[in-house]
Amino acid sequence: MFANIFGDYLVKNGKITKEQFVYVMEEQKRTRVKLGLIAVSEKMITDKQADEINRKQAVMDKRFGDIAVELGYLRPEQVTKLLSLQGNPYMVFIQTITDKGYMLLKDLEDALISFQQENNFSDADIEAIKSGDVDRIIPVYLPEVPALTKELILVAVRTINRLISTDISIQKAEFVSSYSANAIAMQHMKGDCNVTTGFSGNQYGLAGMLTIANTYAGEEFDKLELDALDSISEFINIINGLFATSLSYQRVETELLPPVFAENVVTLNGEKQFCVVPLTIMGNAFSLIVSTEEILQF
Amino acid sequence: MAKILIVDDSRTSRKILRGILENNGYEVAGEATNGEEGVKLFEELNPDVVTMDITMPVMDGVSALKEIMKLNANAKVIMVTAAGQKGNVVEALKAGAYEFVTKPFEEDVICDLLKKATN
Repeated sequence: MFANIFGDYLVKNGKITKEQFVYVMEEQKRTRVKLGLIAVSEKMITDKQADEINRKQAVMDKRFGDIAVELGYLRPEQVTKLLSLQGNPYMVFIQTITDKGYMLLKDLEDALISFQQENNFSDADIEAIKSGDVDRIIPVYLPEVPALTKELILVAVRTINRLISTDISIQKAEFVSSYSANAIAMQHMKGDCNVTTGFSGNQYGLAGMLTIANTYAGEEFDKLELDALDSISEFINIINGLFATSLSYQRVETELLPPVFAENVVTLNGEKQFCVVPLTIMGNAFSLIVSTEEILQF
Repeated sequence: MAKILIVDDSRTSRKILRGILENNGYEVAGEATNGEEGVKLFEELNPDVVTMDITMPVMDGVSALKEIMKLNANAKVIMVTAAGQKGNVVEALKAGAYEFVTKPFEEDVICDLLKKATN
C-alpha cells in the first residue's frame, strides 16, 4: 500500500511517469511473495495448514500470521521472521525505482519530505505509511473519525485487500451530511446500532466500482448495470458480516438487510454527518461511504 | 444425480453457486430470487437439497425454511449466510435447517455438506 500512495504522489508531481509507476507496481507484485508461501517453503507449516489458514482468512477479519498463531501453527517470533523475509515495502519500492534509474535516492528522499509537509503528516504518520501495513496506514488517513466508523473502514479495506486486490490507495476521509453519487451499492444493518456501508462512483468515474464488480463475480462487465451492482452488494455483504461479527463480540447485535442500489446519480442524505473515504483500486477511483449512527436514505 | 434448488436474491451468488454445483456433478433443478418463490419451486420441483440465503426481500430465508419444513419435515435445507448472523443461524437450525454455510463460498465446504446431505 505504501507504493500505491507514494507512487501516486510521484506521478502527480511529475517525478516519474505513469508507465514507470505501472512497471514498479508490477515488479513489486512479482517479488513480494505471500506470507503463507514463505512459511511453507521455510517448512514452518505444511501445505495443508496454509490452506486451512487461507480458508479461515476468507471468513475472518484477521491476518494470515495472527490466525496461524491462534491455531498454534506458528509462534509470534516466527511470524516476525516471516515478515522480515517478505521484505520491507518501503525498501523494495526505493530499490526498484533507483535500480531502474527512474530517480536518484536523494531526489526520492526529498520527494518524501515534500509529501509529508504537503499532507501535514507527523514523523510517526510517515513511519506508519512506510510500513506498508494496512492497519497502521488507514488510521493516518482517518484522523478525526470516531472509533466505530474507523473499525468498519478498516474491516472494509482489509477485505478489499484480501478478496479483491492489494493494489489499493487511500486519501483523507471527509464528513458530509449529503453526498451525490453517480451510482451506488449499499447495505444497511439495523439493531443495537444502525449502519450503512456503501461503495459509489465519484468525480473520477465508475472504473473503481467496475473493478470490484468484475473481480468479485469473476465477470467482465463493461458498464455499471444492475448485475454489476449486485456483485458489489454481495461483496459489501461480506464486509458487513465481518463487521457484525466484530460487533457481536462487543455484545452489540445487528441484522443485515437486503442490499439497495442505484444505477444513476443519487443524493444520499443523513440527519447526522457520515464518512466518505476516497479509495483507488488498481488505479481506479471509487468512494467508500460509511455511517455507523443511522441508516442513510436517497 | 442429486437435484439442488438455489434460493438467493443475488444473481452473483446464484451464478457462483451454480458453477460450483455443476462442476461437481449436481443438477441445479431451479433458481428462486426470494423466499416466497423458493417455497413455490420447492413444491413444484421436489429437490433433494435446497440452498437458502437468509437475507432476502419479500420473504427472508428463515421464514421460507419454516414454510418448507411444514410441507416436508424431512427437507434438507442448507442456509447461506454472511458472517455475523449468529441469531438467524440459530433460529434456522432450531427450525430444522440441515446446516449452514458462510459466504464467500468455499467449494470444498459446500461439496462436503452436499455429499453428507444426499447420502
